[in-house]
Amino acid sequence: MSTPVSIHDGPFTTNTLVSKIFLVFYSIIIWCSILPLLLELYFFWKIIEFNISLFICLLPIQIYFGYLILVFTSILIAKLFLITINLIHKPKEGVFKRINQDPDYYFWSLRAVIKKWPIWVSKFIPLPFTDKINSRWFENDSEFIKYGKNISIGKGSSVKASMVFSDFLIIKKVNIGENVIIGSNSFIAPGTQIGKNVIIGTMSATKFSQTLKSDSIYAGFPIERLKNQDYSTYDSIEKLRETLTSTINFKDDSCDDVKLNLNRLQGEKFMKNLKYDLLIFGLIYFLSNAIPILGIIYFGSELFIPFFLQNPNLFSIFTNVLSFTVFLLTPLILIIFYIINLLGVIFFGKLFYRIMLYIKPSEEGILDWQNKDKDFIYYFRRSFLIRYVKWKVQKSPFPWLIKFAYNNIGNCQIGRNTVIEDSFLAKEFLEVGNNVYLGKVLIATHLWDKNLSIKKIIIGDNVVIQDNSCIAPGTEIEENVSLFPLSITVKCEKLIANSFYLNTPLVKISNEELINAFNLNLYDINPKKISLKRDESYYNY
Amino acid sequence: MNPIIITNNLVEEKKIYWLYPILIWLSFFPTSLIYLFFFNFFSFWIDPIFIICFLPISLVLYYLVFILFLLLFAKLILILLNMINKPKEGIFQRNFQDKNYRFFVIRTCLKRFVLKIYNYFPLPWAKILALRLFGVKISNNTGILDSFIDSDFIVIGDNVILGEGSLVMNSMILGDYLLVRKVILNRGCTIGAFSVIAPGTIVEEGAILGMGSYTYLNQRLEKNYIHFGRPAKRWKKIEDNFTFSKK
Repeated sequence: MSTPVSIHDGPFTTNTLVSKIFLVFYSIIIWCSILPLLLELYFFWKIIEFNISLFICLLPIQIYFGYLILVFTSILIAKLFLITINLIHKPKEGVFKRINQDPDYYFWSLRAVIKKWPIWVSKFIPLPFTDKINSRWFENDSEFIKYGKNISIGKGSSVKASMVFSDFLIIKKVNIGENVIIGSNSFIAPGTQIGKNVIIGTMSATKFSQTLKSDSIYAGFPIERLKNQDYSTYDSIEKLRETLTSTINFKDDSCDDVKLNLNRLQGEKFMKNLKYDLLIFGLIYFLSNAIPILGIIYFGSELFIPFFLQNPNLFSIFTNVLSFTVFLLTPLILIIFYIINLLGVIFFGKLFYRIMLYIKPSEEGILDWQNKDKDFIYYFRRSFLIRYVKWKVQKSPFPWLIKFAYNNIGNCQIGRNTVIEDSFLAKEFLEVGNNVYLGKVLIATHLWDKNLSIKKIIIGDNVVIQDNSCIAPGTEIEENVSLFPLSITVKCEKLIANSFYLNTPLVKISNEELINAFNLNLYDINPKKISLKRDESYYNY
Repeated sequence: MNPIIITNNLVEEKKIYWLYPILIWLSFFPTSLIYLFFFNFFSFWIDPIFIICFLPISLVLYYLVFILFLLLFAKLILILLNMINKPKEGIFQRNFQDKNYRFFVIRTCLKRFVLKIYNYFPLPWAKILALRLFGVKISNNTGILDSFIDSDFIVIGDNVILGEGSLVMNSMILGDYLLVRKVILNRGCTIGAFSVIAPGTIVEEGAILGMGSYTYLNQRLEKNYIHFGRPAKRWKKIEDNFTFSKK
């Protein structure tokens, strides 16, 4: 497994939340995983005994070991929860309705909620072994994905055993053989069988239940086996170099006249009003953190230190009723203060946003690079503010709050039952209907061109937009539209209701053409009639 | 020869796992030393109230000092590695016995590890600082929103905007071989979101690459043109009075 950098990478689980009872399970997992850390903290306190220099010396090591303990306990507890839930309802392959009453969809969502915490905890200091455990146990539908040895998966690409498609959730096993390399931003659909030594190119998507032959190179959308399989058949490096030098001139320096101003802040496009942006950021940061930090200090000095840390021995923590309740309640109080911090960021963000709106209301239209008027400056200032709020909420262990944040700040509207994954959302002028699924997509309401143009995006009810697709400004998507992975809209495009779209530029396809395009049979909207068998004719090249 | 395949460039990471704990361990020590000195200096102040008031701020400072020293130690190791084996453009055998490939993998793993920690800093300038120390020529007013940039042989000019989720790669795998080639993004160009820049790409001044498209090996994107598609093709000229088409 490779360990990439960008936001979209590493193990990931869906943000689908069928019922809010799952959050109780979630907080219990967090609660239980913090408790061993507190016991370790007790021993640390015993060692230092108010020796300040020893305390300062050992604090970094304590943070490191405490973090490791937190990671391991959360992995163990989440795994225990997963095992018990899989005993209650065994994860199954198949096609299920995307409604809350369907038991398979319900438990799929519950599994995702349980898997969220260990993944979130273990991402701060990237440790290779936790990455491996996470991808084996806690990745989205890891029950259905089988990885071989020595695999490399590119940045931004997603291997999916489950896929939300129109009204259905499709789950099917994925097998990946040894020595497979998957390129960046590519999509592996459910049911894909990949042989040994396969290379898959950038931005390619496999069809549903496709088989990729061993020792070959695949690329494109939809994916195809390349005729020239000659990368690996070159005998020596000299031969490859000879053939490549005809296309690549390694001594070409004709375009090296790039002018850089490395030392000076020129501030042409972004940083003209940097100090005000930073001031607002600092104010929000300080105000949102003040209440939780004061609360934690009060809790620590009044309850935690005297009744927990200053116990004479470990045994008395469990015998004394008061110290035992303090020990049990501490994780809950930490969770509550963290949520207060998040809500504080949203609240103060909204306050500053309202003040900015009062000075300059937000409008759609075209802004000029050259004459930077008030509109231009305030557009960037507002987006800087919302970017911080979005960053804070989306990277927190409670990413479900993003809907609440968006409906509160700014002029965006996001409907009920809508699922938003770890996506790059627009900051203003976004309208999303009910029951929408947005995968790892990009939704942009502004366009970088000769000028900066801003236009509203409207997404109707029951729309499904799959991974790595981009929605350009001005797009209007009507109800029940399904977009395949890697599809990209042109600006001001209008997508007609009850239809499927794919590719760049978008092509509308009928139900019959779906089989050709994605190997998916949806003649009847009846989940029992959807074929899950492989069709031989689609992978015999 | 099909030039459109671009894949990620790392497979063998296991052999350099030992680097990560050493780096974290090294960068924890200066932080604790600084604090030891600091508290000895203010030792007449010390009482529990002072600790309680100071601890939250000190934890933030710890974090900042920690990531700064992490960067510095990574830079030191990089300088040592570069003294043994200088980064080179060209085609190498994808085999750990090959010296150039071995050092390439160690260097990129080290950089990626540090960049992954820097990615959790709320402000973008920390990442630019890290990239600059790692050998990317990049100016302060570049908009790297949430993009991934490889290091070495990459030059990014003034006022370049890299869209969210875009990748700039300086290397790619060709079967059993690895190709490393420079990438130049000239001043004022725009790279759309989710797009991938292959090694050897030269983007001329003011050129635009659209969303979700990729360039092929050694492609040149022309001045004042919009490029779009998989792989990118010249689409249309950028007009001065660009407006939305009205329905």
